Amino acid sequence: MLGAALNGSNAFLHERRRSAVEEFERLGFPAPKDESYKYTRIGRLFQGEYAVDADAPPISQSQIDALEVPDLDAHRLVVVNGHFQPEHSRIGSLPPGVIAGGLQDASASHPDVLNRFVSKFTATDADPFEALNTAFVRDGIFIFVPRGKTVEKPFHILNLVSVKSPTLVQPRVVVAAESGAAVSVIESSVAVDSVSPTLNAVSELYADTDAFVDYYRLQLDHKAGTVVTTTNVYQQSTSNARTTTITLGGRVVRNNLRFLPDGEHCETHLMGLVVANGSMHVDNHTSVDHARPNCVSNELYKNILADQSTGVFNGRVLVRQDSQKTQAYQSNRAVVLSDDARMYSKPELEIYADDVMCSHGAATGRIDPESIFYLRSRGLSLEDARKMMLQAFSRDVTDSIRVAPLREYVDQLVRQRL
Amino acid sequence: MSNAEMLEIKNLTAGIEDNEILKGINLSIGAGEVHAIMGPNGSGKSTLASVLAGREDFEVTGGEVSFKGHDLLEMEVEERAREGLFLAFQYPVELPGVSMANFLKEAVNSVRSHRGQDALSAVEFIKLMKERAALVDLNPDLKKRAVNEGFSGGEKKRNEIFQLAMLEPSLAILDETDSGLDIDALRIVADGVNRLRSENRSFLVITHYQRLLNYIVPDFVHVLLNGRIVKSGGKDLALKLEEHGYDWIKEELDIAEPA
Ligand SMILES: Nc1ncnc2c1ncn2[C@@H]1O[C@H](COP(=O)(O)OP(=O)(O)O)[C@@H](O)[C@H]1O
Ligand SMILES: [Mg+2]
Repeated sequence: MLGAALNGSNAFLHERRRSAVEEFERLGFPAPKDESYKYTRIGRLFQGEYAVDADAPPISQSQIDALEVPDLDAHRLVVVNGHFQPEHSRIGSLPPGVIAGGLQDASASHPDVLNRFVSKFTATDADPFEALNTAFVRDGIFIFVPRGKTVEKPFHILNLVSVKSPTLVQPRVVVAAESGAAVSVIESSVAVDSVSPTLNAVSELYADTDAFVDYYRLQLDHKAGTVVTTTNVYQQSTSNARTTTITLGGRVVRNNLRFLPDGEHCETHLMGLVVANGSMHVDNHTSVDHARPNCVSNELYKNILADQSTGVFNGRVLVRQDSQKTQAYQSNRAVVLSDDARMYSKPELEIYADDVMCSHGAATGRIDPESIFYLRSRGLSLEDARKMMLQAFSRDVTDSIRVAPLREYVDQLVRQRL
Repeated sequence: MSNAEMLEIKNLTAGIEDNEILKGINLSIGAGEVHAIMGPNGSGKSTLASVLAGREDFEVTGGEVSFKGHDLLEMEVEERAREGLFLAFQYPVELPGVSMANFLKEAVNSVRSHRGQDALSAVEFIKLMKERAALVDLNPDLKKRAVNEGFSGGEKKRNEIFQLAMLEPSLAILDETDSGLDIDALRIVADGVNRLRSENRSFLVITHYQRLLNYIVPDFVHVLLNGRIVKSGGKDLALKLEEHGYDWIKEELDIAEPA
């Protein structure tokens, strides 16, 4: 199993993989009774036969260009089946000291830097999918921004998947911003062939003291099959970390997001937008561990559910006993467009400190008929009125996208989808 | 009454579930005329306005309505609007996340497209907004906000007249646009309406109080009582109602058709 090691000379990664194998063997895929996978019986989707890795077949430049975000000026990193593709990437010029490229390359060229970050996040609850990804990791993307440096343009990681038979593809991304550094990263995954692969992606984000990390996960591929993602965010004091997850495609999608603001005065933002139709099933499972005092977390998830689709939201917020002056806000809202669409929403607030400000709200409803009547009475068609209301509903998430071309692109895709 | 009929309502009955609210309305409005409908709370004024605008909560159980020669009751809500019917809501809804500019652009362009006119360019649209907002002295900042969100009661009412001015309807129905307005706001709204009066545009002004009719002087006044128009007259009728209330009409009715 460990034959094709990430890099034989990198003992640390070797060790990480070995312990991940053990961890996965101990945990296994989530059992039907597993409480944290209650609404998403994902274990059974991993029962069949599939390969756990695939070589990267040739991909044409035009296939890649077609997946670009229009007008986005970014440092482009292309990954095919989890393997970094320097010849298709267009990294461009970066400030001195910034590392951006393949994980495997980085393990050879900058082992010390890489080892400071990979799998450093110690989640309070171990998850089998993260262990599985680590156990098989061969390559991926490593982005490192040194102390005080700002990368002005965003990085865009294009994860392409191209397989001819059922395959588990496991992209890995590690983003590290040293103290005072600033970086934005967009990660999107697209299947370029008709066989829809099973994806198990892990991204690890590190924001050191005063650092700013802005991360976008785009799940726009309507051909995507089973998708599991893990986003682990580790923050040091006075850092600001933001994640935005946009899900418009995928048959069964499970996004695990875990935040550990491990220093005082951290700012944490979790945004999410789901637009689901057909029999799509999208489960956002978030957790913020307020381990230190004086931090703010702000969570906003919006779901638009049509047809027989299902949305699931689980928002765990843990405020530890000594984490006084924590401010934790959570809101999860859904609009269901049919009688068969379902939303399951579960806030999970565990608050052990007494001087905190926490709030949560969950609401599921229909589009307000009075609003529709108002718009139609001004000449808008029923269809346009509905679109306008749904776009308005998703607007606080789309508006929070800081990269302007991405904001416009997502807004436009959402409008098309509605 | 003028020959050019704008709206012709014949024996209209409508209600909600088993509750009949409009019990046989007859009303003709000619082009360019201003009609006022007055009546106590609960008499059916808003129901009439809603039925004309096409609100689906109400079921039309009988009668006919023709609007510029079309069968109004057959038309969808948006078709009525595009054809030139406008309702200024008694209680305008707030639309968080829908920007005024976006909303108005779509509304204006859907109406224009129905009339065979080209969509306005961004520059033309901004110019039109500015000009029409000035008509009701609408705070320019409000145009940057979401529709009605956080607007005061008076701002919402002005916003209705602003939309009226943007959409240039043939028939505008004002449902208690005056209620809740202080005297300055009332004057501004009424001035706006007066400037929008023209020989091709008719108004149906629903109000509860005579005071609005000092500013928007109607050609005809109708009294709606318990789902029926029980009395019609000129603008003096409004003054009489202000002075004597509705009781004298009820008494007249009791004499005419004893219970
Ligand atoms: N949505 C509704 N459901 C049930 N009854 C209604 C509804 N709307 C109006 N009504 C009833 O119809 C009658 C007339 O109401 P309305 O048209 O609002 O009167 P007005 O505008 O003259 O005050 C009232 O008795 C009211 O209770
Ligand atoms: Mg009323």
